[in-house]
Amino acid sequence: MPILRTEHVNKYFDKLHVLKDVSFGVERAETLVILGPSGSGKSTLLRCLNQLERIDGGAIYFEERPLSYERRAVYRNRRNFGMIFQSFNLFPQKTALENITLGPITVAKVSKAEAEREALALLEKVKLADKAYAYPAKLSGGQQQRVAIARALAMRPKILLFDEPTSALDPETIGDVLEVMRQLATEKTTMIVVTHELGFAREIAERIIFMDMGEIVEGGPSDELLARPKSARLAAFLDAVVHK
Amino acid sequence: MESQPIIVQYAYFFLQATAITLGISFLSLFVGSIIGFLFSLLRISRSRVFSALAFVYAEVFRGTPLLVQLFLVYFGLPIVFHLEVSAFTTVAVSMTLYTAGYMTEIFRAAIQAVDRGQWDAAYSIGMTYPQALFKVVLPQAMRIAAPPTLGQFISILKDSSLASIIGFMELTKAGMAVRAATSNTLLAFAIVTCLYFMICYALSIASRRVELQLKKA
Repeated sequence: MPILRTEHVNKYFDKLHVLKDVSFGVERAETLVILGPSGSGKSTLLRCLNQLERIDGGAIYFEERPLSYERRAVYRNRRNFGMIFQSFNLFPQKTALENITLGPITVAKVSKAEAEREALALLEKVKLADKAYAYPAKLSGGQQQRVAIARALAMRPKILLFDEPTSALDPETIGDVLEVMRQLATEKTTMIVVTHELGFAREIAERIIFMDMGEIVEGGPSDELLARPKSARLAAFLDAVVHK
Repeated sequence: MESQPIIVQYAYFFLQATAITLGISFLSLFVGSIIGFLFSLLRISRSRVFSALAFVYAEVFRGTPLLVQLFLVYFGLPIVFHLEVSAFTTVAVSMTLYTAGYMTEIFRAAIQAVDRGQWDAAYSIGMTYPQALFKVVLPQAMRIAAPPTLGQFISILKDSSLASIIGFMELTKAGMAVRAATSNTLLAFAIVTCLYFMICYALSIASRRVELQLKKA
């Protein structure tokens, strides 16, 4: 039984049809990678899953219950997801530690002491224990992204959504972020990852979905899909990425 | 007494008037900021009606001269509501509502200048709209709003001179009074000019400092 699945999801930005009949599912503990050229709707799809965007048609089921768009239901559903953004979106006026504890303290009503203890453990996990009191502006992109991962984990989400987590990073700091994600994958965290990192996708993804122009073109086990693309569009995409 | 220079003779009078000018300007900035803040929240709310209400408020009060607003309150209220209002009440109410129009726009612009990603991040950790607004967005928006707010203070401080026209004894009216008593027009208004400039320049320096401080942080 998939922990999350979508059925014929459609989404428009004004007249632009950005998601066309998107149906897919994620199993518990699975790492699913969504590949596709920019503008293919990958990020919009992620944002629909935790209801940062509203869908115009179809349905999304979390643990087999359809998502409601009633205000409080939306707030509740978002806590099932942790989201990591391309541009990190850390809170600039807060330290790394405060970035991580803000959610637990204000949303989950955890005590400050407890939240800080857990935050320090999470910083340890992403190998940034020494940066607990640093402000985001003082951190490298890779460090900021790892704080963002810790911030998401602090809410104990059931699924992690990664929206091109390494696209805004310098090549030398990508490795640290991928290392943390690799670690999460081995811990059986359910993850949906939008990425351009083909090598990384092959390594951690059990399954890959290829999207183009708002629709899922094909999907399947990662080795198979990358080695023997069935569609001309995926073949062309892989070719373009490899030869960039 | 007669031989004393004007500047000494009327020193206390001028200082008192300066204090009134500063006081009425600060009062209108303070209360106007509170009203403007509330209107800015309405302005960015999803409710079309509330948003339009705040929009119209800001546009009307920014789109008409303060002097006309003063006249409207001072002469209008007695006619329409048979309500006699003092010069002080007129000035306080008009300047506050006028400032509130500007503060609505300053706060709206500041809130919307905060990166959308901050809302996304706040919502993603499960925050409600008020939590995201007050815990994440407003602390950043307030920093953005600080320099234009000081600018607004300077602006309303100078505009408060209009209150002299309906006889409110602030700094400009004090200059007019001293001119009448001494016939020394040039000196009276030179003193008034200096006093305005000293305050405004100090505020201007403060504004630049704040801006630098914010850039560093």
